Amino acid sequence: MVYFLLVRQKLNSIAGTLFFILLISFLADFGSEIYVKYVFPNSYPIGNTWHLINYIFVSILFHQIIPNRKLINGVLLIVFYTAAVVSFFYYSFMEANPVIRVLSNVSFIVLSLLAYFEMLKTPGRALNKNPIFWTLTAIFVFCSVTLLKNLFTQYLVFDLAVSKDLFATITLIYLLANIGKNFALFYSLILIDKGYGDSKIASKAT
Amino acid sequence: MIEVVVNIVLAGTAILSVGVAWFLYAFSKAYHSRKQ
Repeated sequence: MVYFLLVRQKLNSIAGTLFFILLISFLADFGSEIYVKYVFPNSYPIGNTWHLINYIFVSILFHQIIPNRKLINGVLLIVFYTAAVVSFFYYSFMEANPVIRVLSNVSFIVLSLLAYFEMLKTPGRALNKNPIFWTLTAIFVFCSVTLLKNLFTQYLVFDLAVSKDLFATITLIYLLANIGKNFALFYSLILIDKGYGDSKIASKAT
Repeated sequence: MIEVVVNIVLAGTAILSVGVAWFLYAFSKAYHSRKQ
């Protein structure tokens, strides 16, 4: 992956942004494992950091995919970071801050829907070979499936002290959604690398 | 109480997933019909 991006793709293209999204997702998952095992048994600080950094890269991605929606993207970015700063007065960094989690999910669902409608205006390549479609679907499905989990985690884990067994199904759904998202984003990268990024809305991919 | 909240999350996620699947199906149909 690093090879084809450094050698064959520009880092300021959609492929470059996808690469960074995948990289920080990998670092967050891997870092969380090490942090929980060796530093402190709480994965939420890494999760909070991931949400804050991931928002920047996904915003850049939407800026590249739908450049005519700069205003909405910019407003959501400002709202998110303002709410994030305020929310940390109410929630410790060691907790599952529902404000940043739900706001990022809702922002990306709205932006994905806008991008889908943008795709409908100029239909190009078949969807199964369209990297933009796979990228949008990865983000749209992941944000929709994890929306309620993100909304209720703080309440369930910190207020109601839910048992691990009861919370396991919710965690499993989240993990499957995360793995699915990363596979779909990686498939988009492969499509771009194979040269499927040259049709209308997908033409911005390379 | 805890079970109720967990079930709300699970049922809500299932409903949202069905909604997402329906949207993607409708989108792909609309996309292909406009493409032709």
